[in-house]
Amino acid sequence: MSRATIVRAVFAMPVAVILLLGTLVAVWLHTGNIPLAGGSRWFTVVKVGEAHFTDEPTEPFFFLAVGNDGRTGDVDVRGDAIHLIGVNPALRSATILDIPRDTTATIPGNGRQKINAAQAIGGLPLLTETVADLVGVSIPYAITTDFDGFQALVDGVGGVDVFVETEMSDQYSGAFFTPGLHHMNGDEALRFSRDRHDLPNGDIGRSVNQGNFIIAALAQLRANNLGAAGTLRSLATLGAHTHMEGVGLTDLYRLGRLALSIDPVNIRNVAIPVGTGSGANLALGAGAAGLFADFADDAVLQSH
Amino acid sequence: MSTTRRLRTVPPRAVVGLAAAAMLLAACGGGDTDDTAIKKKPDPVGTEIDVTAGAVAVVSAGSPDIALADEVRDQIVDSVREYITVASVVPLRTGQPAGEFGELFTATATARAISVDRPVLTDEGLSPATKTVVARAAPIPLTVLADQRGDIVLITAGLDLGISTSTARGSVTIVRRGELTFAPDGEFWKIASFDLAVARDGPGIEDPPVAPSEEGSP
Repeated sequence: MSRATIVRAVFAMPVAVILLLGTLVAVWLHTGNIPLAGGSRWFTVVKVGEAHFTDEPTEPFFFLAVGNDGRTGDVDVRGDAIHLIGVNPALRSATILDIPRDTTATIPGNGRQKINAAQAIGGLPLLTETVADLVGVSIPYAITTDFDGFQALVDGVGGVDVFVETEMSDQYSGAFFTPGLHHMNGDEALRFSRDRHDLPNGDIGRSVNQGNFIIAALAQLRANNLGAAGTLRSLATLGAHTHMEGVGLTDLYRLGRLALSIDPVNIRNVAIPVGTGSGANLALGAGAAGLFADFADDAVLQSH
Repeated sequence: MSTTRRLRTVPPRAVVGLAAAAMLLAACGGGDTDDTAIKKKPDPVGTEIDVTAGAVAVVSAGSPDIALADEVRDQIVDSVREYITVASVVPLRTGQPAGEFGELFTATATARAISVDRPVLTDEGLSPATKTVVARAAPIPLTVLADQRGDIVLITAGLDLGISTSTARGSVTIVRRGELTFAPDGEFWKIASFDLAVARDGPGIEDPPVAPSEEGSP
């Protein structure tokens, strides 16, 4: 059973770009200090350094990461966790734009609706096209996973350390967390990522939490430091549970390496400006156009 | 299903090996052909290079019945051996810059290997060795990744290498550890990415080249 789906929506770019998946499958390959050679200690000891290289994308790129509300086997699913991720390889930085599911958007061929309806109407490609039109960028690749897949991925990396900023006590999602650092398994991570009822700004806060979770997952994988061979093992496991179109494991290796070369402190997580509330159609806020323009040029926010 | 990639009988590594051998011969003979040179005291410096294949682990996203062909395994290990020879042993042996080793790497990896990462990947800049250059690697473990179709797409080789020799200034030891990841490039498997760390111990290496950083990675 496929747990995650990668859709290559456009064939213009030669390289697959999936940071979220990369954060879940690749490893931080920064080699630690190595023992110095034995022998006479009067010698000068010089550690020359380290070298790390992988053929990676060099230009800024964008991809869509979507958590849908389906369970394994569901077909008619909606994209409820929508994150447009921009990566600037040269700057080793990234930006996550969190798009609340209730955001109103023009769905090509289907008028203006809540943006999360796009996936139910036309699958991941239509949702990707909708987001691309909304923000004004080209999105060559997208990834989606459902509840079961998300939990499996989190469990597969041994859980993720997540900082909970405010107390969560939500019977709907089952999120009951005290403020502070929590090591979450897949089930707990799903509860954390779904909670919106007791957040001050509802779905907007939930989207931000989801973006923070992506960053936390990246930090966890960097800390795991499995090495190149460990990366291959992770890719094999992932590949066995992933449906891929136009993307190969070699691409994921390269992109995962790129993802793990980005220090989480260099990743911005920003919710797009929309009206507050939940359960309603949320129009874009006044600052949305400027934010999108700032994001679209190089995937980095300079003035926001 | 067994999967392999066919190799030409004369891979580019042979060219690299020949170049390395030529450099070693040139260093031993100095290129002289007159009787005086021939009558010089035999050069006591030699080389010992020990690089062998270690355990092979195949991980697959598809069928579990995937095996690494012996010829691919041998090509990987030969490439590692030749990289060590050209990038480390020859420079240590001769005191000269490393030979051309770009054929062992993909084009993009070569660009890094011969420029910003060169100080880590090569052992250049020391006085010529006065004793045998001994390079011994632990058996090279190979991790092989097969995709959902059963095609082998990446192979990682672990490197745990110790090199020892002496120069006119004293003994030198070098430890180089890390991983080399091979990907198919045309008809051959070439080094497509690398993660290496090196430590050098001995006189004459007090002023190392500037260490590269990941900030420079593309």
